[in-house]
Amino acid sequence: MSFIDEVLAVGSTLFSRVAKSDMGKNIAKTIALGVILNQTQKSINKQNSKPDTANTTQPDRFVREQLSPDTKHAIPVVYGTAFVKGVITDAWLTADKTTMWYCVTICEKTGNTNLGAGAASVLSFEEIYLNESLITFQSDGITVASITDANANTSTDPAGLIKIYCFNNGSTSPVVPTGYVNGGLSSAYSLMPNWTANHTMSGLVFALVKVEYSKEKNVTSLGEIEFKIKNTMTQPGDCLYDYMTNTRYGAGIPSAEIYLS
Amino acid sequence: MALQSALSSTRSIGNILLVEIKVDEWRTSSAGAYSLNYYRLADKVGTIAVPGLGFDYYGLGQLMSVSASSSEIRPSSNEVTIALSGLTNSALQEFINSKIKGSRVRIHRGILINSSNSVSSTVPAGIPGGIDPNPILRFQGFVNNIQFDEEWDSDSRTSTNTVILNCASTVDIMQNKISGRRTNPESHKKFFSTDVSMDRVPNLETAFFDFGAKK
Repeated sequence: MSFIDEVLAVGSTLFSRVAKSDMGKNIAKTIALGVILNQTQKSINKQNSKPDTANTTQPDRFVREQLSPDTKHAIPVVYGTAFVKGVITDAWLTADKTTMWYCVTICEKTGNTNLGAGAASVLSFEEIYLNESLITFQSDGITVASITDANANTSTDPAGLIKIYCFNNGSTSPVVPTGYVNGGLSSAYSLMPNWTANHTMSGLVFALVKVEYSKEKNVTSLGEIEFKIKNTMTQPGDCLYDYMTNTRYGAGIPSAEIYLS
Repeated sequence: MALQSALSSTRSIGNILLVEIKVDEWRTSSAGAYSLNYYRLADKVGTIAVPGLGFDYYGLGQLMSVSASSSEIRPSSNEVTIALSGLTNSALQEFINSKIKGSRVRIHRGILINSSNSVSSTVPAGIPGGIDPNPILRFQGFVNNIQFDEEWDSDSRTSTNTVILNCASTVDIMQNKISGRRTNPESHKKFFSTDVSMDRVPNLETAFFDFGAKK
């Protein structure tokens, strides 16, 4: 016997004296309806409070990320040392939707030192900041080990989830940040999904950032990334000459028209 | 003393403006091939030898005028106007058929002594303490506009042609130059035609990534 039948039976007993009339039947039906609604509500609430065991292995609610690349962004030139935030120029989401790859273009590769006659200038990655916190890498110089904010609070939440591959002169010039050594670095187009040998990133200093999604560790997007870039070209005369003569990012003045003596 | 002595024997001292226009794409007719040519002109009559620059300049005398320019310690943007008048028809054709705009212009000021037609490398020649080097660079820039003026004389039924070259200094050009690459495929391929690294930037502006979504 279901609880509905029980309710109807109780109603009939209580109002047995008037059961023969329609009034008793109506009262019994009203009570039954109220109980049904109450039970239904309880059932729904109970159902909602159950854990979703079928979905616990899937990622949590995803992040719909819209990037902010800028087609009018002028690529800066760095002489000496400077902090540069860079701009995203490519991004790919892997098929399993758990890994994002970003290409962050930072600055131009500059020319030769000593008024164009010396050694090539070298740009290095001194420090990298994520959301204004300094990144410490694992020994490979690629995988994030921890981040430390301005108040010296260290977090290992992004450890192993973020990898930063640095390049200081196009796709075939991989480097690691200053202080790290890694002899097994790869070209950019062998790392970045869907890139080919035609993705040369010519004359550019850039970084590929690989981010693995983790709701628990609060790693759900790239965040704000900033690079401290150091250029070996520091002499004012070298910098001025390079900027005056370079046809790509400078004034393009022929060197023959500049009095160097 | 040597300088004093040298100057005491100097009867006159004059100055001369030496204009060099380097035309990368010069031709004499509309069908001719382009070649490199230099116009080296002076505001004094006759052929002017300038050993300090290694060239002779063609003296136009008063047929060439150069507007004033300021001389400052720090580089500043100047605009100089060069007016060439009394041009023959063939010379005018050269200006019409050549690509004058963008040509490099250098203006030197030289010191002439004793009405000589030679701008000595030092003035007085070989005397320490004199003007060295001679001539000195006064203006360097590029032609950014060219005008042709014609004055018609109805009595003689002849016309006088004048070419006016407006020249912007290199500093001015640097100030106006929009320098560098931008993060878009057109700008990037202007320098590296086969590099496709920036091809996706326009598409990314409207793209969404469901990062962490269920498969």
